[in-house]
Amino acid sequence: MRQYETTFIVAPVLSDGEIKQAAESYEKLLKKEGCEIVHVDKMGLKQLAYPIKKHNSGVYFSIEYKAENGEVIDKLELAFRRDERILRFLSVKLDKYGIQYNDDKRTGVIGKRKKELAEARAKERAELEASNKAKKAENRKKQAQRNASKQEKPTVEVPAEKAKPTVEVPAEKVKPTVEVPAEKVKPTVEVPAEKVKPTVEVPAEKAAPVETADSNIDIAEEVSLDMDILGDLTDI
Amino acid sequence: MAVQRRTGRPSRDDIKFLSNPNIGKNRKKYCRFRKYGIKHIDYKDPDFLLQFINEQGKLLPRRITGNSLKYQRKIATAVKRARHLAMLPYVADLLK
Repeated sequence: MRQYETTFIVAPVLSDGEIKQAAESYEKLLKKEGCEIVHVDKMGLKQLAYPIKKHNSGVYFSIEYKAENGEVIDKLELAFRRDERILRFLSVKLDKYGIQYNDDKRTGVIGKRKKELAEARAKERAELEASNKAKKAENRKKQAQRNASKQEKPTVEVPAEKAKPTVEVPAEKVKPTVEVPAEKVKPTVEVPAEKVKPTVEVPAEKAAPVETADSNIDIAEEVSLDMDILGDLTDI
Repeated sequence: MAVQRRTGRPSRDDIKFLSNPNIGKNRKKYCRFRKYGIKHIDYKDPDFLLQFINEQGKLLPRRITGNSLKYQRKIATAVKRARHLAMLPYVADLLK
């Protein structure tokens, strides 16, 4: 037994009943020839990539069947050719991978069903994330409220705490470094001084060069753009 | 750059990505059918086959898709079958 697959397009001008009838008539023909029909896939109305017999859309059917040999296909295709309702047909012998692929598609391991499942999962995830976000937002609000109540006192204390250690740290560093050989003492003494100053200066340093760099680039861009425009003009 | 200009001045972070850092790298191509164990290519799935044709509906060469010869042949037959069934165009413009 070999497994074949025949896909054909039925003209869309017919009524739904007639289209179904057309498809079923070929099923019957196959059964009459002693074929075992595995599956009939009604793919439905689809837009054609190019017009066939002045039709821009067609109803697709795909019949999968088992037959002893290919003689059935001759008869089937002869019937297709004689039938005006059929726009196109294609018969293919399925290899073992093709059979497995179609089985998987039907059971939903691959293909559309998998996509649907994936979409469902994605939705669930999105919902979860949304709920998580909502929770987080609530937590943040609560925290903000707590902080708001707390902040009034600690905000006054925090700077005082921070201010003190920064003053103390250099003093601490200076003391141990005094014990270290004289060579190292000098640099280490300078380091805190450097560190203290830059903390004040850094913002100023960072702010200034960034702006200059940006402004330079902006100018360069504008110049290049202007040049382009000029070039275009000259070309014309 | 034009986009950045509209939104405002490019900051230092933007400037870092003005040139694509991956531009010089040559990523190794591979055959997706071998890598993911796909054995059968369905001619009734035009959306999948669309990955292997260009804007004009022509088959892309192996040096671009990276397919192994065996699966490139299968792709070719599948695309040709899909064309016969009017799922893919024989000739097209601006397909993608």
